[in-house]
Amino acid sequence: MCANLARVQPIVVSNGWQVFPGSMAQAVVSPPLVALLLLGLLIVPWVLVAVYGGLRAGRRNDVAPWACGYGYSPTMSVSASSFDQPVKVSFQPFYWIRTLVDKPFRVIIKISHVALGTIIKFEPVVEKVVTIPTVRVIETAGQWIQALQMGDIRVYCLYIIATLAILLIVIFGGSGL
Amino acid sequence: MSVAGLIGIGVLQALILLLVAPVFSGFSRVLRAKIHTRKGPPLMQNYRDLVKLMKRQEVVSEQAGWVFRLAPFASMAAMLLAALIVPMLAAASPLGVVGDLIFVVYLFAIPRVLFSLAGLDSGSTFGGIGARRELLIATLIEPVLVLVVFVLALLVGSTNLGTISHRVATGMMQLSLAFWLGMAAFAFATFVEMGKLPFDLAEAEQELQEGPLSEYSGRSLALVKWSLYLKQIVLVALFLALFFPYGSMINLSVVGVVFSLVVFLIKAVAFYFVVALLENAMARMRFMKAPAATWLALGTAVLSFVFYLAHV
Repeated sequence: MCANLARVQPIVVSNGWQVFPGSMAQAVVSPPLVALLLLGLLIVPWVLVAVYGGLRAGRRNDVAPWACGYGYSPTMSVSASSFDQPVKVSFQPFYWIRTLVDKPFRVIIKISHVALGTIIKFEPVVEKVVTIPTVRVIETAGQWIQALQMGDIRVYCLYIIATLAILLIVIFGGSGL
Repeated sequence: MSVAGLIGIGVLQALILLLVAPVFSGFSRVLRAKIHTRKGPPLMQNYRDLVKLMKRQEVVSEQAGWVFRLAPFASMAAMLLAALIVPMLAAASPLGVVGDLIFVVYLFAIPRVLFSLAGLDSGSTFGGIGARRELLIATLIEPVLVLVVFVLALLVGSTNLGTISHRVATGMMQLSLAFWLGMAAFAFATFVEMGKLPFDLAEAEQELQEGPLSEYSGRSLALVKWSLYLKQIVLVALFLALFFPYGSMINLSVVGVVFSLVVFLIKAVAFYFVVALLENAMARMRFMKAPAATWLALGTAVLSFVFYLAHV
């Protein structure tokens, strides 16, 4: 559908069992055939063994098959760190960058931890000094202002007349009338 | 060429390589003995060893699991598949529909990974050491192989082994400096992958690359040895198919098959001869110094890529 919208031919990348990058001439790989052939070709070594009588010879499981002078022990087993040791040694430059960068990064992490602690310590101060009193003032003022609204219709009329009087005084008081 | 004909050629060349591989390995042993001014084993000694080992009872460590038992079979299967795809008798890939050059290069990683897994699986310390060295060599050499493969694919415009082989054999491709440098890097990688000095001492097998094999015995050892021999000759066949495919058959015919087989055998003998001269002219290298040598190969491969980019 996208191809139709863009008015281009859809690119074919597979044909039956084969996958290819748009053109068969460039590159082809066929995963199902690979799997089948790899499994199928296992027969060849098996036949070779069978022909030379290897199947009759059998197999013996031994706790210590070739232990000459030393036994197998868990302390001698291959560990993950010993396994990657040769890679670590021969790709030292790459790991060197890691150790080089390690120290400044630790400092940066430490500083940011300190900064975070400070922020946590000072944030409530602002709240106590600024936020909470402001809220309290506004609430009290609100209650006072609320009192204005509560009352009789006669009191309202009195307010209106008082306002009118004040306005008259303000507007005409200065002109000397 | 017809599909049936190609598949026939593929099966034929895989069988020939399988049967001929121990002779070639024996040949390099003979050459080494001659260079050492020893008498050395007879040319057919490897067959005798293989047959003898096949008949022996196999002893397996109790810690070993199914990976250890499967590895010899699976690695031989992988190498046989590579032998089916590499253009050896004809300048076309017999099973080109299965995979291309990149696929074949990674097919060579299968025995390597299997052997190192088997080395770990065997529970033996020696096997474990061998396993990690095997993988280190892989990490050092694989970039070289892959880079050269990409340069070659870019030069030809296809990763199909048959197409590359055909272009080079018929002179349709201009052999630039990038090609020659790639050839040098690939030859070095082949040399290392074949398990030769300075990284490995083929007759002291437990030492380095073949360390994982120290736990094998009987028929498994025979299969492992055979698949290593096969790996060597298939690598040589791959090198020859990519960089020196002259004499390979262009059109399918019986005479052509015989002719290109003879030509291939001559080329392979020459390659093994040169390799034997080189490996015996070198001192052994400390394993940890291996990167120093492989950096050179990687440098050559990178240079080849740069020259491709610069159209030199």
